[in-house]
Amino acid sequence: MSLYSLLHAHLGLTMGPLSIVAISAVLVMLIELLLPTRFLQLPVWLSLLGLLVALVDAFIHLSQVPQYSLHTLVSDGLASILTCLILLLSLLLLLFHVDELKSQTNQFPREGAYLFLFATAGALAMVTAVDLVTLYVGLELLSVSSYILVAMTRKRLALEGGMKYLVLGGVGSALFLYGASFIYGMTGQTNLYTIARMSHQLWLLNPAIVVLSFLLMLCGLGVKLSLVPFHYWTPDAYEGASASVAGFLASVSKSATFAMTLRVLLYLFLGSTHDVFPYVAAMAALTMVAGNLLALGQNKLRRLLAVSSVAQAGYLLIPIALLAQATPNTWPLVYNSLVFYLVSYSIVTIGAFAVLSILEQRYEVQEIADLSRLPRQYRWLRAAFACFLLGFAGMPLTSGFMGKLYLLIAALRLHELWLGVLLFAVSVISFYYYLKPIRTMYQKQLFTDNGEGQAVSRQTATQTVIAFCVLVTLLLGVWPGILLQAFSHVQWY
Amino acid sequence: MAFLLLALITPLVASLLVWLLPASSPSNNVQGLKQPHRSHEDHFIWIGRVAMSISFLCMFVLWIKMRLLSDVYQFAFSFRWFQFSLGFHQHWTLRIAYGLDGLSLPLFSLAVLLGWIIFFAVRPPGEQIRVYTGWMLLALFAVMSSFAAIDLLTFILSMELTLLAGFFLILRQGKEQHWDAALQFLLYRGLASVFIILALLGLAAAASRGGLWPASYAVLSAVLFHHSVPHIVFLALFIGVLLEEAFVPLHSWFPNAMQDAGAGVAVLLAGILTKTGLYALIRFGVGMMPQDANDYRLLIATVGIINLLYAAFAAWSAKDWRRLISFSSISHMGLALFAVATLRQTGMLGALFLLVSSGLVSALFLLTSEGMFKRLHSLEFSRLGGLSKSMPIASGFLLFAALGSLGLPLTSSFVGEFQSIFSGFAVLPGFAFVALLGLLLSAIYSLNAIRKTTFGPVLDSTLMQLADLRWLESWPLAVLSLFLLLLGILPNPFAQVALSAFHHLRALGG
Repeated sequence: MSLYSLLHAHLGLTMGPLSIVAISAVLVMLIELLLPTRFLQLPVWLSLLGLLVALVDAFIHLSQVPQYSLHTLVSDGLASILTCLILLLSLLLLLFHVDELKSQTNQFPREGAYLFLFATAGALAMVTAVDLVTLYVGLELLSVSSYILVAMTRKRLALEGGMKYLVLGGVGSALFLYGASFIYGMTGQTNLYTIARMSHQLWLLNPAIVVLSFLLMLCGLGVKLSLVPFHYWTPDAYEGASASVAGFLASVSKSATFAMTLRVLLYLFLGSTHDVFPYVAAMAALTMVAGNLLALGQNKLRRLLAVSSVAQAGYLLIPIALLAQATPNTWPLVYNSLVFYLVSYSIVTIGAFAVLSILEQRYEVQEIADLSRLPRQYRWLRAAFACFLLGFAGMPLTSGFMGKLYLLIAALRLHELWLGVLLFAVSVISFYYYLKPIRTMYQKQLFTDNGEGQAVSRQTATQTVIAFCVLVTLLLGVWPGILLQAFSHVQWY
Repeated sequence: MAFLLLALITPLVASLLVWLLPASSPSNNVQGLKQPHRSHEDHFIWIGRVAMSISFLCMFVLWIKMRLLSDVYQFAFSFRWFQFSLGFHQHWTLRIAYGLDGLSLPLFSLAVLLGWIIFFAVRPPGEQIRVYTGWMLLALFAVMSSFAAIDLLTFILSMELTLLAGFFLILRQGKEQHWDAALQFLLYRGLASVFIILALLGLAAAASRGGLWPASYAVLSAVLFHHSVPHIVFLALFIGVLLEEAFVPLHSWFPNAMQDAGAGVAVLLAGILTKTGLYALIRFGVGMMPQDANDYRLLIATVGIINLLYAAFAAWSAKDWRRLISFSSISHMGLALFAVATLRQTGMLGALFLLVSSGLVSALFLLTSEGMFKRLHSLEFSRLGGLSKSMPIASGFLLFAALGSLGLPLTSSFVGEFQSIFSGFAVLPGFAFVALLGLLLSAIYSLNAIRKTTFGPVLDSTLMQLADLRWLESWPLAVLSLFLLLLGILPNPFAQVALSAFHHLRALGG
């Protein structure tokens, strides 16, 4: 590659945030190595700074014309919007991770800070790359950092969760790679755009191998997304990990993987969408139904949120399944509804985990029944948690309702109504388990706090995160136009 | 427009005010024991009272300013809310839009009137006032807004909001086993709104032209007047309505919720919330899919008659007032459903009269029996008897409610029942004949219950020493009775407003 083409590759646009995050990750790692142990929080604040700079950079370039550089990275709508989203989510998570470090109960080492950054860099690579190799590297960077993050608190549960996640996640990566290798074997290409141009011919020549490779990739990504036959690691990992890490798995990791799934599956199998995407629909239906049914029996809050995130992954899979019927004319509908629901779901998830971290640190809340230990003067905290649970359930005035409605409209528009109907039907089931904690929280026999709660320093950062998430949840529920209006100007692909 | 906006927005603003005002500090109690403190949350209920009074006054202005015999939406206002993108250059623009016509104004007024009465007649236990007022105002706003909505998404959102507020009201206000009742309410009505949302989206999709989906009622009915809609859309709507209205066999949530609910919540449930389903059926089913409604009229009529009879028998065998009231309400709604099935102007008018008067009668029943419940802590017939001696005023109101329920001439129920049966004989005489039987049953169960409660032997001496209703308790009942009589004696102004909504039914040969 000549210097000339390198200079005109718009690298700042396509990989600006990615490189900022990666560089700060390396810097924080070095600083952490040299830093005396008493500076517990400094690495986290430095990481926050790095993320903030990257977010500003991503935000400034949001309205620029999409660019394509080095045959590897793009800055199209999906990439830039998801970059902003991932950076914002990581920022929120690190912010409440600061409070976790302060707490005595949670023996979280300060190495977590740069692992968060590495994982975020991986996630960014997953949404900006259009080359199978780069995508895989991003996926692995995210996954490996997540394995360590989960197991990092060195509690028994954490080790168990991390181990399960490692083993299953490794299988998932292998499956994805195996599927991708078939495509590479047939085309000799790793670039998505190039393969997309050949995909029709590919389907005509080797339909069986295309289907096989589609299924392998779907299953591989399905492990990462905790879709139903591959969801076993999810409750254990979420239970073992610290709240911020669990929130990371549920929001950042999921957002990046969904964006990657959409892009990879759509481009690689462009010529055979009618034939292969019905498998996704089946998987979405299975995940929705099984996820919701599994959640009915959960008594631990962590596991409840974990299994509910399985069910939510089923909802999020709907737009991808709709690609079977979509034409380039209606692709924006698929992208819009997926990204809108991703935003809504991620914000609600982070809020819920932030509340959970306060609850766990102060009142050692583990099970739903423990919520009754919450003193009555914590009405804002209770209201916030109720708001997030209602957001998950898709109640009106929360972003979840608008997100689900949009999914339903998309399903109706693209003639896959049964998916939309199923979505709303299982949502009714989900009312039961989402409202159980609310019921416990608002039981009448609440007491006033007599200082029984763990003496912890004020968790200002966590409270800020919660307030922000409540605000976004309600704002998007009342006035989704802010986001949808912006989306209508986005050139997704 | 200004008055409709004011009537709608006051409860919402008041509800937000209630939530945002600081909760009164709970008294410093030890070991979780709460001191019953009577008035520390009293100011919250006054917020509710003032807000609903404003809405109530606005409602009168609306009636005065309503132009008769005009089938456009009056007092209409809307503003653009947001767009769902449906693809390249295809949008579904959604608005927050409100307006009233002859169909929605009576039901809207019913909601306002009952909401106003609820706040003056019912006082929840001291420590619950804030929560109760907040949710009740939100529920009232939601139900008023679902009646006044003239845009699909406004309607859908209001309906879902009703669900949410209703759930929390039942959950926090229930006497016992509130969780089961609240959950049942949520699941049944949640499912109902799923079906209705599906039907409404189906309507919009069926009416779409060139990638544009209409969402305003006026456009929808204009477009759909000339185009048929897939039958599945109508059936989805119908199933949704059956769930929403608590029609047999999907009714079990309603008596259960009523059994456990506090009086205010019960009035909300029986008086207003179970009227939204039939409103949706008339508005969307008959108004926008007249051809499908015509095709399924036998089904609708059959379901209506089954409900009329089944619920009447269930009311007859009820062991306490709450159950009787809930089944009597279902029974009346069955007759109203039958009246809708006639698809004639008279029938629709009858159904509308029945909806309003059933709301009034249920509220009157519930509030009167609540007066007795406060004194006796029971509403079972086996523990009542001979109350006319100790509580003559309460017994009088109860008797009047029973007469209203069985359709005595000069009450509004009579107008409704007469018109329903009358138009039924013109279209489906066999069904109408069976419906007459239902009326007979309603006379039996109402008077039977009255006999057991107010007349009959006095069971024990405590019943003789009960204090009668105080002035503060009885004036809301008087207001309700007044409206019941007014609509029965002078139905014409009401009917003229209502008729304007049913002009288009002539086109069906109705």
